[in-house]
Amino acid sequence: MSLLLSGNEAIVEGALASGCRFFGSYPITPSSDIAELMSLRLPILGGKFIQMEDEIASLGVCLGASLTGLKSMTATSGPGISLMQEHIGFAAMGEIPCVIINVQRGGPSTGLPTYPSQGDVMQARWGTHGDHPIIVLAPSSVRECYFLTIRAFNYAEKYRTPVILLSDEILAHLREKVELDENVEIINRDFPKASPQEYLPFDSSYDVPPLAPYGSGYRFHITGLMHDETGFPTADSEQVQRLQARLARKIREEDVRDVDARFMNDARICIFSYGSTSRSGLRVVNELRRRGEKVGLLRPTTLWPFPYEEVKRLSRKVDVIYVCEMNLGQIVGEVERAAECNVGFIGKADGTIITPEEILCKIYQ
Amino acid sequence: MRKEIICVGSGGQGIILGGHILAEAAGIYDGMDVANSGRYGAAARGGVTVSEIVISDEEIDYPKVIRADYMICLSQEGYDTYKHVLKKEGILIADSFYVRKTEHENTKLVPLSDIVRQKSGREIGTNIAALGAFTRITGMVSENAIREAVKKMVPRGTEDFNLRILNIGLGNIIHEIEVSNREQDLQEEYISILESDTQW
Repeated sequence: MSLLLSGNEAIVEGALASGCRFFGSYPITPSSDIAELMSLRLPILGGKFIQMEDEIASLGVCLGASLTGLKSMTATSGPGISLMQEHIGFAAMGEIPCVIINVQRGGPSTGLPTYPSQGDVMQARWGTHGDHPIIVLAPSSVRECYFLTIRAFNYAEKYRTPVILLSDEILAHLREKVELDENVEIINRDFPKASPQEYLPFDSSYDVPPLAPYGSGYRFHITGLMHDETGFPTADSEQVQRLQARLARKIREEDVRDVDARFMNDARICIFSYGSTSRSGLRVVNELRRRGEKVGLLRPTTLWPFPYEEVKRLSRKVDVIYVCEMNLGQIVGEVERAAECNVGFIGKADGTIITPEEILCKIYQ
Repeated sequence: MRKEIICVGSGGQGIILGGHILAEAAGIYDGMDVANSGRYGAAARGGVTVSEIVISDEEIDYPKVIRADYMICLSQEGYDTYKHVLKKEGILIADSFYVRKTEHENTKLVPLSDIVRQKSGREIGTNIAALGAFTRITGMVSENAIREAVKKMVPRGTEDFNLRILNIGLGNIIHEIEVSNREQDLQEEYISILESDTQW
């Protein structure tokens, strides 16, 4: 069935289709409609909605719920995602599946509450301290808000990891058609095969150890400290190294990386863009193709892990890559790391979307 | 073919809901691809509100309005703020009570709020009347689609009221005028409407 939904509404549909049954958040523009809708929909499905006192507690309560076996999600923006960094680290360390929706708005600080931005790209990867695994997805349409939310839950469950969905104010309130898919693949976390007595929550013989739900007879310890296979703290360098190495390899990059390439086969100019900004990029590509220009679009839907390989491969076939993002230069640094061609940058952080005209002007200046 | 529509007015006039209904009509009931977005600030009411709709028979790349083909306008301030977005040859459908001064040649002033006020004593529903006029003038959505969308999207219990208002918009009470002699024509328009006894 075709529905006309906003990006925020599509995220809610995607979460519910994934089996999300717990949502804890603190309202903040432009993410609040996700909370509002979740508060209406979840109780009907037997799920739980709770509005917490702040964003730190919001993610905290989601992590607790997730440990009892519920698929959990929170949604926030700007200052809220900054507050959540501590618990994102805890989720990475405790290997607790959860989905965090960040509807990006202008920053830093309170910034521009009702205007879009893509200023949280590096924060999404490196906002919490220490080396840690994380997956970050970036939808560019309402349809993708739905499907990438489902994918976010699947990755969270499959890899026992926090997954961040980087939306933005434009997508949040953009209304487009979505075909909800009832047969979409849903992944649930593995239940341990070991008995409660033998269960190791951080069993290093797995890349991703099965996670027993609290309350099912499996008793174990979760801590933000470095820990051994039982979950109790350790500072033994050998054990720490083993845990670090497993955390670093457990997300299979080739499984998670995803780029959408349009007209790239014979392109000489590549526009590299993600999220809502890539819609401007696609417009430019469509227009220039009509004029016979060899221009293509490369759009990562998974931002982290970053598609270094794909960028490197494509950069050998083009003369220049233009990176377009609504910030003063974040992902462009990663493109430069990977690319073997010239890289141009088109970015701004004034609260307005980069228009197709602005991209065209930059290309032909 | 990509067509862009921008709806502008004051906060509280139902511009955002109007945009939702138009997008629903085009996207769901007429089966077109559609993208609808608003622009909003931190204020709860007042100020200029905007709803943008892009309708196309193929995949929409850029979802925002670049240069609008059509503008639905319910306030002078809205027109003044966003007139540059409407193409020079674009069609402006404006409320004749609230919008007095326009620069676009293809201006169609429609006594939307006057009629709604005369018929119901209030102005609630002017946005729906505007959708009717838009449908009739531009043919961008089908009459059936806009009817179904109004029925689905307006608050429950107000369907009949809003469908009656939509019918007025879809009707013949439209007056095209030249920019130069607008004032005189407006007077005649008012007199004819106030003297008329339109059936609901």
